[in-house]
Amino acid sequence: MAYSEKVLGHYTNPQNVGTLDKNKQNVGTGLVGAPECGDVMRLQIEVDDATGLIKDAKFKTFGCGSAIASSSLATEWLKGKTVDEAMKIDNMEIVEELHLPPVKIHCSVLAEDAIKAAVNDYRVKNGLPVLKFEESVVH
Amino acid sequence: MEDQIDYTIEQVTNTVNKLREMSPLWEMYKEGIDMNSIEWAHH
Repeated sequence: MAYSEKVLGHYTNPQNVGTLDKNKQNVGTGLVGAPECGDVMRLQIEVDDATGLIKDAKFKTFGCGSAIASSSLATEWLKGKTVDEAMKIDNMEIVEELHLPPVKIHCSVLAEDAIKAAVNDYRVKNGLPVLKFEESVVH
Repeated sequence: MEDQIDYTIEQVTNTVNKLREMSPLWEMYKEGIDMNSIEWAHH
C-alpha cells in the first residue's frame, strides 16, 4: 500500500521540525516510543503564559514516513490551541486527515500519546496534576 | 557504472542527513546521552 499524498507531503516537507528549550517552565516535552520498536517521537509545546495558548510546537521523530507525517501534522494542529484542547486531539482525526492504512494506525496513536505526554509535562512543571488517559494498546 | 555508484552515494547521504536532522535519537547521541539510561515506553 502506497503512502497517501498527504503523508508524502509531510515527509518531504515536514513542518515544525526542531527543538524547544526543555528547561523553560512554559515548555512541555513528550518523548514516546522506543528505539527497538522502530518509532521514537519527541513533541514539544510552548505555552504563552498570558493567553494560555500553545504558541509554538516542534517535533523530532525517528520512524517511518507515517510517523513523521503524524507528528508533523500534530504540531500544526497544536499551534493556537489551549492545552486542554490539545488533550482532546484523537488519533483517529490524524488517521482520517492522512488517510493512514490500518497497519499505520499505531503512528497516529504514538502522536496522540506524544501530545498527552507533552501536555502532562507542562502541567507538572506548572503545579497541575497529571491527567490520566488510557495507555495505547496498539502495537 | 561509476555514475550509478556516485548517484547512489549522493542519494543515501542526503537521505541519512535528512533523517538524522529529524531524529530525536541522533540529537541525544550528539549530546552524549546514553540511550540505555532512558526508560523507553515500549509499545
